[in-house]
Amino acid sequence: MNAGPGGGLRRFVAIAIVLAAVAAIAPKPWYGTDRGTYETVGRQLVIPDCSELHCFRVLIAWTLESLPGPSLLKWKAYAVLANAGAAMAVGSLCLVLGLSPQASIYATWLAAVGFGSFYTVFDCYTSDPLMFLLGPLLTAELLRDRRGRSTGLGAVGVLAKEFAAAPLWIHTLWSALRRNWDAALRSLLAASTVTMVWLALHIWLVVSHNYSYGGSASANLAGGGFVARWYSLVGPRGAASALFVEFGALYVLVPFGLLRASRELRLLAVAAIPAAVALAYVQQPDRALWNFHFLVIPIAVLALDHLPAWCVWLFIAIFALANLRVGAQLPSVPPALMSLALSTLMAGAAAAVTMFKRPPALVTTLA
Amino acid sequence: MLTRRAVVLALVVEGFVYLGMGIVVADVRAHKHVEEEHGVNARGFRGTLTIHKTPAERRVAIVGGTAAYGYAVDWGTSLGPALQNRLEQGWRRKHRVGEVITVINLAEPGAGAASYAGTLRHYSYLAPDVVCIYDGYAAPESTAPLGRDRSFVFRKAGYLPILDDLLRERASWSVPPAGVDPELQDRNDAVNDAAHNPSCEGPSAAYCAAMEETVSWGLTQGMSVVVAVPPYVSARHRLQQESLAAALARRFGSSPRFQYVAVDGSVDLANRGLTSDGVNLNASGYEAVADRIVDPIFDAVHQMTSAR
Repeated sequence: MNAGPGGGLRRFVAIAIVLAAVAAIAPKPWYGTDRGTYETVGRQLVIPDCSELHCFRVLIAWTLESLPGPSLLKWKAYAVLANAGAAMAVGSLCLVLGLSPQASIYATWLAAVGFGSFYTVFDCYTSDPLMFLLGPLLTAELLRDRRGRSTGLGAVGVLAKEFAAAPLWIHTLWSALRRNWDAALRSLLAASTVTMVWLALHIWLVVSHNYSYGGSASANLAGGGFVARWYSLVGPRGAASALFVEFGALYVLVPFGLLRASRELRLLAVAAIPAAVALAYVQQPDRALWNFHFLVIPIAVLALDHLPAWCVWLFIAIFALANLRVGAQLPSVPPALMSLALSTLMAGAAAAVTMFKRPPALVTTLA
Repeated sequence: MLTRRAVVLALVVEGFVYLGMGIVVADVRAHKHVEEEHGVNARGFRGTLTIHKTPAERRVAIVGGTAAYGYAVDWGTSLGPALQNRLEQGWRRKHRVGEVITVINLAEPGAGAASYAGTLRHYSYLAPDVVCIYDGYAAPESTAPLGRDRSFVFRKAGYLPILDDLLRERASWSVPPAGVDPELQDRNDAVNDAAHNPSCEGPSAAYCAAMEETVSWGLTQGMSVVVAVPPYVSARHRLQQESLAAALARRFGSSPRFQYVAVDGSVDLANRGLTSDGVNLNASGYEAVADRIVDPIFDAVHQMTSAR
């Protein structure tokens, strides 16, 4: 496959077409979504006395609702384009990390057909697709030592959702783990600035317009955050099941991918743990964790890319099939249990081959 | 690219900004803590803050001093909720299907009548439909000790910072009230003396003018105005209020949006079941006051609805 710029554009279009098709045939969410809140935020800009967490996530609503056209169509289009962009950004990050062009293409498609991507084209009234895009984009920019651009993007991104600050904090910790104190200090300034923008937005809305978190479990930090509420609702089996379908077979690949990963990539994974724990604590954990797909997927691909191409594409197809059911909620797709089991078996086989063949370790060369 | 020194300097500056933001967050949390008790919300008045008024909402604003604020009671047992509970009674609701009546209490401990119009002007963004002037016993020019108007932030932005006052234990609602205006206290030698009669033509001219200004402001803004006189604290207070009633009737009596109601016999300040100190009412006292004024207020609300 062509990994050049023209190939990249074709891939982006192909992914967008796939996601658009899924968005078109995905059923309407049968549960209460955040649509009403986002539409009102978009129309009014500020809703005095708003007591919903989503009222603070203004950027996407302000932007989309100011554009002409039906609301649902705009949000679906945004979800499709942002997720397609996110997949491309994951591929680009793979190249920065030193993965082969072929591996980056695998990673691109795994991101495109993953749980988060499909879920957000099904339930599109959310800031998540932009976060899925910003995670790999900001990380790649930071690894290229482009802090100014990352800070600017992050500062805009936090107006959509708090996760946009996470890549900057991850990079700060990563630089510290590498004992690169100068880089850590500079990234700390970037992360702190972006977080300050987020905090300033919240304070402005609370003080000037009487916004509140309305007793949201996410704001109850001492009482277990959202994770405690979520666990009390779904129970241990439901929690385990929800967490598993998030990454599915990728969970099997990650430990073996880590064996091949470069020190830089391993440290990046370690540096992401505090942010992942924090976000899983204050958000719905099964959805929050997909924000870190930009690290999980490159690591998982390291345990795949030495397999024959047809084998990897088959794995990606089965992985997509599972996510069409659990993410996009397509009722016409076979039950996810079968595809999840099959892709997990394939991942196990890939892991065994990785152990047996011991392919060379990844080398990440950074500026 | 920034030098290392510049990065450190920027981080130090951000540290101070974070400190400031932390103080603001703590202040907001402090408001949430005290507003259900004796304190005020972020905008400086009693009760849970709601800025936005829905189309179905009819809003009643109480303005006054210590008596209206309810120095001796928590928010839940003060005049605002007592009145709102009665306005929301089922038999009243059936006459106004889909309507919601809310009561906000803009009163400030120690404030005199001269401040009422200014208070209403400041809070005009809350868009009350009905103003209930529940006057107290303070001198007209009396100002709230440690009141909200001394805050620059409040005057300019509408937000009332309280953290500093709380830490110094000098919040406006915790300062004991100044008591009854000496002009209203009975003096055996002067009560029947025309020269000392606390009428609107005599010593109470400033007070009456302030009350008239408040009523006038409310009416010109298209609101209904109910002047509710608290229980008489003395014979001179009664004389003053009778004079005020006559003055208000002369000027505003022809307006259908103006009403005057005296609590008078409904609450006896000598009854220790209603007040602990003979002046400041307790929860039962405010229940009794609300019982007395709910009908005129309800009529005023209903009138505003009909006028739309």
